[in-house]
Amino acid sequence: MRTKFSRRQLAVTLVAAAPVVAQNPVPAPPSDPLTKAHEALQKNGEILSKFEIPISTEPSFIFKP
Amino acid sequence: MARISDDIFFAGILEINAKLKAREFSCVELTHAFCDRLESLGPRYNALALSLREQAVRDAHDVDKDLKIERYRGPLQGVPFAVKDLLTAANQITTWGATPYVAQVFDYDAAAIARLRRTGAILIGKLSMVELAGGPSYNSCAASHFGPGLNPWDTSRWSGGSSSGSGSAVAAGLVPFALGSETSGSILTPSAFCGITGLRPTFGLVSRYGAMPLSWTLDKIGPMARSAEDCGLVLRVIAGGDSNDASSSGKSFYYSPEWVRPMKDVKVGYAPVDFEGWAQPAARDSFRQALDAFKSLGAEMVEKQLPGLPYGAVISTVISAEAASVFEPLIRSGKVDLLSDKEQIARLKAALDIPARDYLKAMRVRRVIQQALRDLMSEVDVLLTPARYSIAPKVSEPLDKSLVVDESQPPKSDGMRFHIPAGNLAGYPALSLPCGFSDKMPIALSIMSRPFDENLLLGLGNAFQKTTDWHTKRPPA
Repeated sequence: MRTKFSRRQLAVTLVAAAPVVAQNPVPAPPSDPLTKAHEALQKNGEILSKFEIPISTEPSFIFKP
Repeated sequence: MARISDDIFFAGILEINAKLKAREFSCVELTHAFCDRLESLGPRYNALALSLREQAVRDAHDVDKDLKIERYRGPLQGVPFAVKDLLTAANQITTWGATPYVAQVFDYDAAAIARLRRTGAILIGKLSMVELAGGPSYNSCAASHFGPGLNPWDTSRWSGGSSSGSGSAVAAGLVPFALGSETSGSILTPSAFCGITGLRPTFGLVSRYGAMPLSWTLDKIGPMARSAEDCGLVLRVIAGGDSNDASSSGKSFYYSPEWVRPMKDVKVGYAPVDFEGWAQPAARDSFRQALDAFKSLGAEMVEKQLPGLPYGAVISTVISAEAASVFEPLIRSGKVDLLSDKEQIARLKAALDIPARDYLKAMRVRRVIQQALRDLMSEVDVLLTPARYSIAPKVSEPLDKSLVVDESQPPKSDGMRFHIPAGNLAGYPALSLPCGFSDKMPIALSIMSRPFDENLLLGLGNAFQKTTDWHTKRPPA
């Protein structure tokens, strides 16, 4: 099923996204590769969790370009 | 035996096919000549995974019989090719570029190989690649069972990844064309670094049956060749529906560049900051000239930029989560430690712990990205960017140092510098076109279109390559 956004919804999402995308925390890099990998993935999760989207947005599982 | 000149090794598909039909040499002679070259020069670039000479010569005999009775099967008939070692060739070793899989054998041809062989193209070898097509992440050019992919333009530099061998083999004239795969940049990057033409097809256009899965919702198979025309000829054969690939779109592709609309009716979106701000300073003059050459084609140029969205976090989460699921048995068995790249090993292990919450959020944000790109592409026909913003890095440099653009004084706008993750997340096709040199290394433009609009991409590519000769340049002997 395709989720449709109005241009207004998309615009609101994009404006809300700007600070999330712009943020650029610079923590000291860990030396252990596994810790570093966990932290990188965790950071992705944090960026995504701060990204607000319309509640009706479905994951793109039935993927059609 | 007929003398096969060096020019043949750098000839296009139509020229090779025409010479075969004219009986200037036989298909067996041509196959031996390319196999000799692949076997002798392939190791110089760490490009060769496996020579398939024996089977190739058998196939070539069949083609010669067909040609003798004028049974023609299309322009690829008799033309040698090789594939990234992520595709299965029946009863041959398929390593996926990774030490844990060095003895792996499947008993069937990948769908794309089977389609090519049916039209009489001759599979002569398998080509090296970054292990597991890069997995979730890697940080070394040497992240491969075959060693670092070396660039024919300068062997101290990388050929790009993850279709490393495909890039260097085509550039060095070891095969007329090769197949590569892209999850996020793996066709565009080696094509750009090696100075060849590479096409990332629309997601679902080419069957992935018989290809190593890395990320089910991102993986694509595509041609890497000498020109846009050759990419079109190959895509015509490998595209098409396949019930063995759950994500197959069921669509075919008919290469018809003659029907591409006049250039003046094509709207091209581009961001000047890509060329003036994000491109490596030493390469900016060359990119400027390439942009001018593109503008001279007569298309309407419109300034655009990608919407600011978290492309990196989304694609990293999607690839990591899907790859961890694919390779869970490898990770849990401990054999993952046999991989070459410490970052990839760690990232695969860590990715098993990605919460469902993060993956689902990434896939929801991906929906927003798709919609945003759809809106952007409703205003233009294609997006034009540098394919990569720098030349190929030195193989000795870690990738997190060499491939990252200097952000100490970043330009005010991102332009379209995230076109690779954005285009892959949306499933859009893109074409990498050689567009000049910087420090004697190739650079390239990328054009991206709406889904299933490959003919427009190839038409633009043809037009660009008719007015420029960068795609005909050969690396030093």
